[in-house]
Order: sequence, then structure tokens, then C-alpha cells
Amino acid sequence: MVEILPMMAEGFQNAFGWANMGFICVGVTLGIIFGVLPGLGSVTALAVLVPITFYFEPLFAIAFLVGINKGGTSGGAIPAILINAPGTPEAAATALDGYPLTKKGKPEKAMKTALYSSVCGDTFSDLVLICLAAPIAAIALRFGPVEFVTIILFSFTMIAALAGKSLVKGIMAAALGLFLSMIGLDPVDSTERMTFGTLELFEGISVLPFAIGTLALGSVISQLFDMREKPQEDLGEKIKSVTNYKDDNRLGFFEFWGTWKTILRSAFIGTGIGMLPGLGVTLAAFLGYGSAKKASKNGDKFGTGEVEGIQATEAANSAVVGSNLIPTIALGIPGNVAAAVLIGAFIIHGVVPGPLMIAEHGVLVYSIFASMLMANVAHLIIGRLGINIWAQFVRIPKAVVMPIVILLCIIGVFIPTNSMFEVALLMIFAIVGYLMRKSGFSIVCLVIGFLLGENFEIYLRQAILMNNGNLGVLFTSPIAVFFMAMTVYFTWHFGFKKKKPKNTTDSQKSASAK
Amino acid sequence: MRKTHIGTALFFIPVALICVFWLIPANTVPPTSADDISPRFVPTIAMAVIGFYSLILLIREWRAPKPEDGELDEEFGAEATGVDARVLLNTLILLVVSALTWLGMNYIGFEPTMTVLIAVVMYYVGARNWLTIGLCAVIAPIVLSLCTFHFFSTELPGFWK
Repeated sequence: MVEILPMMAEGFQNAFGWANMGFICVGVTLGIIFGVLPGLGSVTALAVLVPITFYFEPLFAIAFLVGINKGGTSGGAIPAILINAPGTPEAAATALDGYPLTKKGKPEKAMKTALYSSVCGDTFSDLVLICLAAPIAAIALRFGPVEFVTIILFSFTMIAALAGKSLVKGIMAAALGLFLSMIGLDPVDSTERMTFGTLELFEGISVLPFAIGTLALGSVISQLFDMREKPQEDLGEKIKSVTNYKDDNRLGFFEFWGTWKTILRSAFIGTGIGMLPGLGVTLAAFLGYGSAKKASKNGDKFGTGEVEGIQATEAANSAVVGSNLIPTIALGIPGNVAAAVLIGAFIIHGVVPGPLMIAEHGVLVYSIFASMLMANVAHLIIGRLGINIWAQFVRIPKAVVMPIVILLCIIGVFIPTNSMFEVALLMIFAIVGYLMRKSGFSIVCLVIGFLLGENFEIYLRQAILMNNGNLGVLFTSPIAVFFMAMTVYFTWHFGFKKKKPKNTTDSQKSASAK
Repeated sequence: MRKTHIGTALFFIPVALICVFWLIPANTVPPTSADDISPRFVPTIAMAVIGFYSLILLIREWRAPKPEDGELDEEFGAEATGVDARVLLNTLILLVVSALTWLGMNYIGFEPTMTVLIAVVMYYVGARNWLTIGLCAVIAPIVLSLCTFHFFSTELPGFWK
């Protein structure tokens, strides 16, 4: 604790600079724009914009990306509120009350509620991150390679079980990611592995073509084919009719804060879910909504344009953003796919996420934390000032946006390497991403398997080398045995145990109906 | 989705076998230290896991056929409709377009290739306003190319550069 305080002070001091603030503001603005454009969202924004951060200082780069993530998460609510067209599944929960409020003639009020709740949830989650990251990392510092091998193994299983609908498919995707991460020079002997003599593969498959291809380009291509089959409606007139409403759009102080318990509850739910690897923003949004509906005295009015419904969803889904960095920073294990992309960005800038991160880059870590708090303020101001502008971005047809995103993906991969080989890899992984999407295989598991693969192998080989080639070492530490047991339990519970038919909740039913 | 699962399993089982018994051993070297595990250990385990779970997927789908609706991809809202003839055709289109784009970028240059790509993609997805298509297809590659050059000192491919 004594060591942390000076680091914290220096980190906060570094973050409060004009340049950093500028990067945060640009990040938040781009994040909101990407979030507003249907079909894109924060993950695509992060994947596409990571390459340009190559040229930034590490703090500016991460602050910029954090801004994008925050802006993108809440930006998705805007089309959901205005035209009932959630670009991402989590925004579907916001549409449940946001769109009815718009139909009542109060779109601006709905957007303000979403923005303020989002900032509240985000701030709460960031504070939890600041308080918990260092203690968890301190505990993790006591772990050796054996413990880390089992923790990563457990993470694979947990993410596979919870991120997708099928553990079997999730594990297959993670194993494929792990296999792809093995291509290149062996980390111990520096001998070639499955490079087929290709010089460009000696350093392995780069994170950028892999992440941008599977996450961003694969998603764009999938949507382009869907657009061909289901022509898009013209949103221009719809937006025009919605934004022409002149009803009372004020959101009073007491009206917003009168339901502070809902915001706090949802922030707790979002933060808790964000801390666990594999549980996504969507689950947080629907759980937040469901619990608010149960607890509220106006629960029966949910779905008819209740401010509380919007608060519950937005506070919950935004609270995931900060807390999913807890396992990322403390253990090097990404909480969700956005955190996985951030891990890629950390690695690009020479910072390896994990328990040593705070010890080795403490000042940077606390600068990032301070930047996250600043990003919330920037988000509030930019989001509020631009509330009438964001609606106009919804009018841009997907047919215009998507091809330009393809260009951004290609340029993003080309800029850092000047290599057409990387562009070819990007295209290959885009096809892989498209096929995985269509066949219901989890891209999240694939990406996380790829990102954690190298560490998994290094820890495993360290553990075995330290114990004279004895594989039984994995069962010697109590912590390792605990995580192994959990891995086996998760595999059995989610993969092989016969499940009872589930009762779908009302909110989920209505969301899927929409 | 059942057909997709069976097809996926039938694809991955031989792939895993080929990798475990030929590709990995032929493209890795044995360990140099007696205390270390072989460099082929983790890749082999990864492919063995894929093969094993493919087998489970196959057996499960074979024994308990249940017609399912499309599943939602968890993060991106893309509908997992299963891999049918339409998706395979799309994949073929994608392969051809990717190859042409790559060759075009390499041998013709970024700007002209992207101009054609944007115009084709916009037309393909239903845009019919030629002014919009023309403006986007011409302006976007040039603007992005200029930005890349001036902000990142990177010249995008082009035979004239």
C-alpha cells in the first residue's frame, strides 16, 4: 500500500495533461460515432483503431482506446432508443424502454437518461477497478508458473462455457486459437514451428490481422451478405420524424436520482459480471433490467417507456467496461473481447498484462486508471453536447459505412508493417470469422485462446523445466489443484450434464421478439 | 444447425488427425533438453482437443437430432444461421474478391483497387444512387491514402509510387 500511493499520485499527475485529455476526447467521440453506426460498435472500433495507436505513447494509446470503448458501449444505445434498431445485443435491452419513450415524444430525455446512467455505471466500475486491481495482482504475484497454467486452463473453460452457447464449440474455438498462436519460432528453443519456411511467420501470426480479421472485418462481411438478403429500410425519414418531436424532453435532477438504488444495483451487477471472464455486456444489460423490474414499484410499467428501465440497462452494461480490466490487469486474462483487444494493444506497446504489470509499470497503470475517470467526464460532456448530432449519424446508410470500414481494416493492418502478407492474413481471418459466425462458434473464445496461447505454453514449459520434466507438477500446488478441479467441474457441468429446459424471462422474450 | 455441426465435426476430425500425425511432427523439431517438453506438445494437444470435441459434437448431433432456430452470436448480434449452400457460395465469393483485392493492391495499387471494391460492394448490397457510389468509391480511398501518408508516413501500395 505504501508503495502504491506514490505510484498512484504520479500516475494521476501524468494523466492530467492536455495531450492525454485530447486523446481521450477524440477516443470518446469516435467511440460514440462507431457505437451509433448500426452494425459497428465498440469492438469493431477498437479493432480498427488499434493500429493507429502504434505511433502514440503507451499512455495516450491506451487512454484513446479506453475512450473508444466507453463511448462505443453507450453509443449503441442511441439507435436503439431512436429507431429501435440496436446495433449490438446489449442495446436491445435499452430499446425495451428507450424506444417507447421516444414514441411518447421524448427521445432526448431517453438519450440523456442513457448517457447519465452509463457514466454513473462506468464511474462506479472504474472505482472498483482502482481499488481491487492492485490487491488481486499482489495475491497473483505469489503464484508461480504452475498456478498460472491452471488459471489459464480454467479461463479457457470458463470462457468457452459462458461466452458461447455450447461448451464443446467454445473449447474447439479456444483450442484453434491456441493452435494458431503456436505458429512461429518456439519460445524456448527458437526452432521453427509450422512456418513452412515462410519468413513472415517466424514471429508468429500477428495480433492485428488476427483480431481485425476475425472481429471487425468478419463482422462487416457477415453484415454485408445479410444486407444483400434483407434490404435495409431508409432510416432518414424515421430519424427525421423522431427528432422533430417537440415534447418536454427535460430530465429533472430528482427524476433521475430518485431511482439511485436502481443505478447502484445495476452498477453492482455490471461490475460483478465484468470481473468474471467470459460473461458479456449483454448478460449484464438483461440482468440489470430484470432485477430492476423485479425490485421497482413501477415494475409493471417497464417496457412502456420507463426512465428506470433505461437506467437499469445502461448502468449495468457500462459497468462492465471498467471491471473487465480487473482480470486483465491483475492476471493477464481478458474479461471479454474488448479487453482482449486491449491486451493486444498493451502487448503492442511493450506492456505485458498480468500480475507483474502493476509492479513494473505501476505509474502507467495508474495513469490509465486516472484516464478512465477523465474519460467518464469527457463522455458526459461530449455525449451531452452532441446529443442532437449523434442522431444524424444514424441516418448514414450501412451501404456507405461498411465498405469504408473494409478500407480502414486493410489500412489498419498495412500501416504498422508495410506488408501485403499481413493483408493476406487479414483476409484469411475475415473468412474464418465469417464462417465461425455463421456456424455459431464463439469468436471471443478463438481470440482469447490466441492471445493467451503463448503465455500458456511458456508457463507450462517453465513449470515442467523447473520440475525436471515432471508433468505431475501441475497437481502439486493447492491453488493449481483447485483450478484444475474447477476446470473439470465446468467441463462436466456445462458440457456433459443433462440440462433441464430453461424458462425464458419476460425481458429476454420480449427482446428476442424484437 | 445440426447439419452444420455434423459438417464441422466431419471437417475437423480429419484435419486434427492430419495435424497430430503428420503436419505438426513434420514441421517441428524434437526437444533439445530432456527436462523440457517437446515444442510439438502444445500444438498437438490443441489439435487433439479439437479432434476429441469434434467427435463429441458428431456423436451428440447424430444421437439427438433437435431442430434449432438460429443462435445469436454473443457479442456482435450476427445471426448464426448455419453453414448452408448460400453461406458456402458467399464464402466462395469472398475468397475470389479477397484474392482479386490482394492482387489488385499488389499490382495495380491501393486507390484504383479500392475504388472498384467500394463501388462493387455498395452495388452488391443494394445501393443504386450512382452519385453516392461514385463519390464514396473515389473520395474514400484517396482521402484515406493521403491521411495514411501524411499522418503515418506510410505509402499504400501502388506501382507508380
